[in-house]
Amino acid sequence: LSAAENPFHAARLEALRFRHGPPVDELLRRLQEFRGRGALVGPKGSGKTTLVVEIAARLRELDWKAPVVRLDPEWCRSGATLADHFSRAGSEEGVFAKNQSDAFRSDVDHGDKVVWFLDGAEQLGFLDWRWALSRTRHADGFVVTTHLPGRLPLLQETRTSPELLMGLVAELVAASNDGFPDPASEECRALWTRHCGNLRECFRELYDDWSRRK
Amino acid sequence: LQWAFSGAVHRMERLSIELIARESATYRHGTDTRTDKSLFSRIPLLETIDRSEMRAGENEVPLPTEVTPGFCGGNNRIEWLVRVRGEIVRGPGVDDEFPVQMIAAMRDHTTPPLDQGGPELIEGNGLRLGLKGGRTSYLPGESLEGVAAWALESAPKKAELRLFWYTEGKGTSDLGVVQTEVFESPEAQAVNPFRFDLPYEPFSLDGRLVSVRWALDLVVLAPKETLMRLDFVISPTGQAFRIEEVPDERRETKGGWGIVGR
Repeated sequence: LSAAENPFHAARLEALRFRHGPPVDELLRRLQEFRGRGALVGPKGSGKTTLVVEIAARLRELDWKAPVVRLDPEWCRSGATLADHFSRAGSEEGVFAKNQSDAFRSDVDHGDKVVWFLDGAEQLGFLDWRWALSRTRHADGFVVTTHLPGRLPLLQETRTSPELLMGLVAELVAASNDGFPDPASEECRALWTRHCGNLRECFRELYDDWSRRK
Repeated sequence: LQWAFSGAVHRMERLSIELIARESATYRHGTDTRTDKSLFSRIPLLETIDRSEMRAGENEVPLPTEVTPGFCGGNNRIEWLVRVRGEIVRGPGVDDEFPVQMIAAMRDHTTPPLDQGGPELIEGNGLRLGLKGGRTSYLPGESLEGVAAWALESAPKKAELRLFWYTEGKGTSDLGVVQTEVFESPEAQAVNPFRFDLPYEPFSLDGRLVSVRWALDLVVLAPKETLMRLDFVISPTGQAFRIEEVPDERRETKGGWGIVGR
């Protein structure tokens, strides 16, 4: 199968919605209870980023600003500081500091309702974490994703299961209409176990498997 | 092809130089970035165990007439490289790659008629979009003509037609808008003929990791955004380049005993 025909191509994976949890509006209500601070906690490939995208999209629908700072494992080696990452995410979303000294009050000064998202907070050391808390202290919300609980109140724990994988695979394969049958449930179970529940890795393997089919 | 080595060349047992082509797809999602590569062409340029030949030399190898051209979309690439491998017994060898820009040979525009099996117009949500003669494929640099029309209850706030390429596959999608035609002061019902001069690259292609597609999007804001997409092919052959994976015998030999090639 060609890349465009592959049911597991990136655009199709990105179109998948988060499931296995409460609706986004319920999470927003919970976030309000936590005074705008919360953590999405779960292992790699369990849907934290997908959930961030969905919460941020919902906030934008409500006319809020939702800048998302993404930290990949190379972030500190790139030479950019955490402040650079915040400032880039802020300007993409239209959240600007008036000037350097105003940087910490900018969100309030502009009268915007702002919820900051930090994807990959587990990579921050103590000082960077303190800086991130300072940077967002005047914002209306600060949501992080991390692998372990503890930094902010637990907003939602993300988990996967073989059944979830089976459901997603069935959905992707059905939509592609390429005539190949779904992988058997035992196959999905074995795949899920092999990748320790990391759905992203499961989909990568399925992509390779499908790409060699004729 | 010219090559030259400096350093302890006498330690090298075998030298092979080949022209390789591969797809490369980088997937970025959240905090995760991964790149996959898949080889689809290997053209041997030199294979020798003669040490005097290894130190320096030159060679001429004809290329196939129809090769898949290079492409760089950011996350997705088609790369051509000269790969140099030198084997050293009981030690790490030489393994270097030198990028090469590969462009496709243009066919004469008197090529037999290209595929014209498409519909005259596609319709949906009050929008209609069609290419002249129902064409589905074009030569690079050709003109693309068609009609963009709509019949809505009220006049849209905005209407435009975008000519663009995009990628699909294992990597995060790339997209490049080449030209946009904005229909000024659009009325509730309109029929707009259009014409675009197509660029010479990238070509449509289908690989294992990367597919490059061309499309037109008719976007109408009335008041919600409504979109209609029409895909077509740009290629000197009239069909998307099809690339298949070939086995790679690459060894992990990064490094070298002070041997530097160029």
